Amino acid sequence: MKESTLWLLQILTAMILLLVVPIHLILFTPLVGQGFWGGVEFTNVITRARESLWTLLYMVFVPAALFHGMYGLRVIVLELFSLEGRGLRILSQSLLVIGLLAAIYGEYTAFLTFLR
Amino acid sequence: MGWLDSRGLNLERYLYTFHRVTGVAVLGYLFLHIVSVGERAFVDATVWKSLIGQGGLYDNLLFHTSQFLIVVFVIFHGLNGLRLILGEVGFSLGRPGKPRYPYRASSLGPKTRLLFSAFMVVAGVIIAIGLMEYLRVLMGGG
Repeated sequence: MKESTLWLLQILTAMILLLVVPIHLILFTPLVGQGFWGGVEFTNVITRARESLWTLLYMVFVPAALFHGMYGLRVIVLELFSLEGRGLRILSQSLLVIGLLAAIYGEYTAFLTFLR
Repeated sequence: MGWLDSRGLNLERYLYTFHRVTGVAVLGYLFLHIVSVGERAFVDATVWKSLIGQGGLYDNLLFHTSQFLIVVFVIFHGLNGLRLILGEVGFSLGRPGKPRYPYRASSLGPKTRLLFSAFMVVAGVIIAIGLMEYLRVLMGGG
C-alpha cells in the first residue's frame, strides 16, 4: 500500500476516533453516563454489548484504534532507526500481524458477547 | 532523534514530543484493554466482579491512577491531533512570507496558538470532569 494511502487512513481513523472515543468516555461520567462503577458493572456491560448499535460501534472502534496506533508506532520506529528496505518490510509486517491478531480478538469477543 | 534535541525548542516541539509519548502510552493500554474487556465474552458476573468490579483485583490506587492518566493522555492526543489535522488542511496557517531574518514561520503564528489554547481549555474542562470521577472512585464512591 502506498504511503500516501496509509497516511490518509491514519487521518480517517483519527476522525473516527474523535467521534467514537468521546462516546466511549461519556459512558463513565456520572452526570451524563453511568459513572465509572456503573459503566464497568457486568450487567451494564453485557446489556450494552448485546445492543446492535453499541456492538457496531465497538467493531468499528477497535480496528480504527489499532490501525491508528500501530501506524503511529511504525512512524516513530521508522524515524528513530531510519529503517528502509528489508528492515522496513519486517517492521511493517510485524506491526500488521500484531494489529490484526488484536483486532480479530477484539471483533471476536464483541461479536460473541452480542450473541451471548 | 528530534525528541531529545533541545535546540530551538518552542511550544510546538513540546506538543510534538508529548503527542508521540501519549500515543505510545495509549497504544500500550489499548492492548491490555482489549484483552481485559474481551473477557466479558467468556466469564460470568462473579469472575468479572472479582477482577474489574468494585473490590476486585483492579480496584486499587495504581490501576485507577493509571486509568485517569490514560484518559488525560487520550484527551490531549485527540485534541492535539485535531489541531494537527486542521493544520494539515491549512486552517489557521496564514500566508507564507518571504524568508527574511528573523524569519517567523506563519504556521507558528497567533492563529495556531489561539487554536491550541482553545483546545487546551476544552481539554482542561474534560480532564476536570474526569478528575472529579477519579477522586470519587478513590474515596469509595459507588
